[in-house]
Amino acid sequence: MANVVVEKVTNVCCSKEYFLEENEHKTIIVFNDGSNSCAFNLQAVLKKGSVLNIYNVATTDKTASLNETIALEAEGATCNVLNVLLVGGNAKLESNIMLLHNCKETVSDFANYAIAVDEALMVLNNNAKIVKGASKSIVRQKAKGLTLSKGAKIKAMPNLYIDEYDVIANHAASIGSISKEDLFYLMSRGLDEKEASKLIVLGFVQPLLDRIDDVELRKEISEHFVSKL
Amino acid sequence: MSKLQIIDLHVSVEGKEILKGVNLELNTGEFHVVMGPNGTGKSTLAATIMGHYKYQVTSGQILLDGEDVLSMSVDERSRKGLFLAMQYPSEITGVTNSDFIKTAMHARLAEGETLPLLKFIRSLDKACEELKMREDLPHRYVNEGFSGGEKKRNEILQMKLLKPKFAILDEIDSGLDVDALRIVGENVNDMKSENFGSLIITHYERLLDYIKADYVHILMNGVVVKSGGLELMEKVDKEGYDWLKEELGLDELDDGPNITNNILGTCAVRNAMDKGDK
Ligand SMILES: Nc1ncnc2c1ncn2[C@@H]1O[C@H](COP(=O)(O)OP(=O)(O)OP(=O)(O)O)[C@@H](O)[C@H]1O
Ligand SMILES: [Mg+2]
Repeated sequence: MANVVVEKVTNVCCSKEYFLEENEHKTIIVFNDGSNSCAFNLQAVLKKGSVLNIYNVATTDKTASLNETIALEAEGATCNVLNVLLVGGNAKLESNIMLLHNCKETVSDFANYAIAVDEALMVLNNNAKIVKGASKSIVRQKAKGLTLSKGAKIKAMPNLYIDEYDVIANHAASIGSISKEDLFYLMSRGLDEKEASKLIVLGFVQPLLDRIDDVELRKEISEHFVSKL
Repeated sequence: MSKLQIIDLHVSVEGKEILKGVNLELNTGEFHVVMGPNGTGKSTLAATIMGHYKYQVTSGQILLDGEDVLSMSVDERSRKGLFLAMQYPSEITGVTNSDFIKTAMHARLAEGETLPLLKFIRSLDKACEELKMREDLPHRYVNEGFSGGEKKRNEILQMKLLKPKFAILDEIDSGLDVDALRIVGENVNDMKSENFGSLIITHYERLLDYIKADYVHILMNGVVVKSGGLELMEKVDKEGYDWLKEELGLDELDDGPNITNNILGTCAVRNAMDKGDK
């Protein structure tokens, strides 16, 4: 069960393929620590009853992209994608994710937590496609974005292509700066503005950290986020 | 002993005057109740004391032991000993309740002072027990998914650990079941000391079964119209506020002419500008 692969994205271009057998469970942690400007490409095919978790993590101020296509080819195939991305400087970070529901009773859950600082731009192309006949499939998409400076931008483009009636599909997006009300709440307990903002932003990353079992990796990722804030 | 003074306080929200000269004086060791019809400015008063960004103080003063509170930032007010239990507290994803409280306690330590982890955990456990809180609540994210009553209890938990000089409790009793009301009430009452006083905003007499209040103030149309003892609360509980409106010659529509004036004012300006263009 504990089948975890860590893909550290350090090369300029990197392409990976994954093929999940029936009932196989796998977790892939893709980590771009910002040491290079790079494009990461991933293709995955999921067989019956298999479960793939992909955690895409980036803390970068170099232009980069994530391009991933996941095909759910048989009943019960499930893919959970969690994007936790931070971009800074003048960089543009693009995430292009496509979830293909090619069979009935397939499930995808796609959550984005995006943070942009400085003058950076983040583009989230969140795509899911349910073909005709892929009935009783479930698609969930969520995008939460925090822009921490005036010049920072996050564009979330959710695209659901659905060619089948009998499915459940939903998406939610909220993007903006730190809520003034939340800030007031924390400050009213004595935290200064800087401390309060930091707590809120790190809280944004925490749901990801909660899912990483490897203590060393968790620490490394957490430190990368802290150093960029 | 400490003193909190509110002197001729005028407060506006988005250009509309809500508080029109509030005067109140609290000492530690005293519990003051503020009541009043919906929309008369009770939450406005509470939030203004804490420094909420939405409210503009147009004139008046707030003093804590003679120090000017209005020139302090929100966090400074907290560290000086003010606390606001909110009507609708925020949910903070990814930050556990216990981490949050620990950070807040750290923030008020003097330089060189430390808070040993074990001591913190013990006091947190003790406070949770006294409030009969569910055991998982300290380890969950701040207020996220908490029920209405659990959020209220969580505000009191923070108050107990942060030990303010003055706690302003904005409808801490709303949404509490009868047992929770008793527990929260007793916990607040037990805090009363020469180092702790409270301003308690409520609509119901029930809370005062457990909290021994000393003074009752009635806020209407942005001013304190009457102050007294518990007999005032009993009268309101039985008869509502109409007798007071009559006694004071207050009219529900006393904002009316003002609003009309504003509209006239805007039109007049626009007319003038239009003319100027041509
Ligand atoms: N952002 C705003 N814009 C305009 N008016 C506002 C705004 N916020 C508050 N008000 C108004 O200020 C007045 C006072 O509100 P406040 O919340 O202080 O009342 P309250 O006495 O606490 O009422 P309740 O008993 O219902 O809690 C209300 O008429 C309200 O509509
Ligand atoms: Mg109110």
